[in-house]
Amino acid sequence: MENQKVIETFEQMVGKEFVQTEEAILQEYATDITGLRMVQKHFGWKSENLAQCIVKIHTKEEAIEAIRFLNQEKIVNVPRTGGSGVCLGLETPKGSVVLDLSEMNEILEINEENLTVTTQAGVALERLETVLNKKGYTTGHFPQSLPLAQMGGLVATRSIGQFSTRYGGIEDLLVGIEGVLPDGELVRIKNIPRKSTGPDLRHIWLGSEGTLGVITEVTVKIFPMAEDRCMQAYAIASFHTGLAIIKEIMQAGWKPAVTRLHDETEAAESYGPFMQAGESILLFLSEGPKGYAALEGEAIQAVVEKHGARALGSKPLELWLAHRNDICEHLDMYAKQGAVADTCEISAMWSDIGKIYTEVLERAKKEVPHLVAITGHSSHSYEQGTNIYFMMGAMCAPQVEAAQKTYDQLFGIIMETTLKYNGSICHHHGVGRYRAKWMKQELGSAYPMLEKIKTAFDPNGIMNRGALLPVE
Amino acid sequence: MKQVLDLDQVLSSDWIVQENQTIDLSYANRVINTYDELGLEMMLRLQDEDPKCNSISLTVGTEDTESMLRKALALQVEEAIRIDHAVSMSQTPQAVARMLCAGIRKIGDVDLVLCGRQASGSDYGQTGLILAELLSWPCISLVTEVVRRNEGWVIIHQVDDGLEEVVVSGPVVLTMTQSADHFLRMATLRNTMDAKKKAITQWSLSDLEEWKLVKETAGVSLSRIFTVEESNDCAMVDDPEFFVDRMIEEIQKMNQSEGVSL
Repeated sequence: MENQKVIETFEQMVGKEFVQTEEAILQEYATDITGLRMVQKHFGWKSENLAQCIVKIHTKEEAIEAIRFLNQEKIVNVPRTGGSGVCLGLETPKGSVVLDLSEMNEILEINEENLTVTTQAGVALERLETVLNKKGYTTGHFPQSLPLAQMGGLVATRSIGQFSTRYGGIEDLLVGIEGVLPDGELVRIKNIPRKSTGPDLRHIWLGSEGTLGVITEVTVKIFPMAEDRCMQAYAIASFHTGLAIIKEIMQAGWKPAVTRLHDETEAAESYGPFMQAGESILLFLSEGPKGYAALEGEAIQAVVEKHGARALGSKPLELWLAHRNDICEHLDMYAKQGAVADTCEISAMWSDIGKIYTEVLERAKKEVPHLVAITGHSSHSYEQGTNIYFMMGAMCAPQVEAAQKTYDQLFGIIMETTLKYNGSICHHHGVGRYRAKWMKQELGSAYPMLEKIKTAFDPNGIMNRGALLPVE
Repeated sequence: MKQVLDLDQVLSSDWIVQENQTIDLSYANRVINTYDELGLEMMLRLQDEDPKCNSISLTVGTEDTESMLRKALALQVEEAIRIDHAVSMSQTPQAVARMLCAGIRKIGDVDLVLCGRQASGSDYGQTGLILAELLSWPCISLVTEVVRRNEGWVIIHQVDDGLEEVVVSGPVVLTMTQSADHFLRMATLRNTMDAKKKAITQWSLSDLEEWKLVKETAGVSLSRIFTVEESNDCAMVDDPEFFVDRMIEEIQKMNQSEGVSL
């Protein structure tokens, strides 16, 4: 079908004012906030693969009608809410249609008996948290993208929050969900605390990144606001000692909501006056019902003291709480300084994670010619392992191609090293288009399962083609 | 260049003046003054364009300012000089400018001085202007960009109704302000490591021949830090019919108390 006819169809479907075709807006929607594009834009990058239009969806009926039409015409579409993706998952294929659900933003029900909240896909997490706080509740979900992210996108990318050790990732919080399949069928998975009725279908939606349908509504857990908080920070001799301390705390069964270990470079950068040369820093925040935080705090103190940690009080935690999402206001800060910079989070078992950290830093320092810095921190821990969130930057010639080459080199080192030690190439940012090329290695013999699910759900390949699975 | 504390880090709950007239800044990182960063970037660009251009970073301060000078060296500034003197909060800009002036004269062959228009903390916004006066050089303020042209420079600086471009020849002092387009570049890890091994020239005040001892505080001492208290009063007028009369009455009372007639 000709572009003009597609646009006219959508104008009739949702109203003319909700179909946007201006080139500047299409450019704005052409990508997400991936670090690579930030710096490339600074060097003059513009997308050559613009969508034909942006369609603002306001109701599930509109979503059904839109997807049914797109499937019938075999037009690729990119579902989108907050737009805070960092893996090129929202990058538009040429001639595609963007389904923007960010104005589908009603909080439908706060259920204080079952402790759940049901929202439309475009509800901003920060707004939801504010509304819940006024009633004495919290989502317990605080990703760094809090000021930008919306509920549909959080589920679609398998998001996690900074207080995850206590509250879990979005997969632990999701109770029920509604979405539209690629053929236009509306499906709902009802709200149930736990069940044994075959595979958990919620996991089809979790991390689907818009490739299996469009999420229209979610129900997630809510929690009473914590009555007590205990915050403590410690300086430790090395990053590896910090990993050993966290492992011991996790395997003993404690769940400090915030459990963070920053290496010596990050410690010096953010907590300089507290640190001595070479030290890493551990941050713990315990919270819960009255009495819980103090009890957990004492247990943590006993473990860290055994490892020779130096107590720094609660101030570093207060600083972290105040500044943890500042980057959202300065997303292009490094790009303005001419640096290719981004973050990359991976995860692995306790037996392997330290090796990955060490080898990535060694390789980057040796192989990347104009490296500015590569640092790492652990921010989400489990009984079996943890994640490492690498932060890296390098200078390059002020050209789009040079930025791509430097970015690929930095990312390649992390991906290769992680796979070498059986780690996972994404802990919580998702795969998007950028990491899709490593998905076969990531999933190994399980990769055909994902391919078959994709083919079964989306035989025409209209849903966010190129994200999650590489285009052959 | 001036080293300042990163005040953005300070928690809002800590912005309370304590009895000793200070606030707790002990946990704030030391950073290069924002306005000096642009001066440094412009100097590096001039050096990039002209290999014959020699760059020097100069500061007044104690040993703890050396991390800032090492960052400048990591960014490929050729020389870093520290005039060893503890600059206190009560130090007047005249005294600092005099030290910088003596330092610049000791360096000798200087055509261009770039410094921040002010510091992002403990600032008077005067040092660069006084420095130019002491050197008997012209000064251009609120500069956002410097480009070499022939034997001089094209300077772009802010004026009341926009930007002005002027062509100057040295010697000249420029006071730099923030620009939406220019930011200090980042040092590579290799250069940062190399910079740790580089020497920083250190001069004491007695090394500076032209340093004339003046009272450092120039007769100024810090007496107190305080917030101006504003008071608001509110009166209710029950009957709207008398509203205007009551207003006039209140204004007259107010003016009498301030010695002003209506």
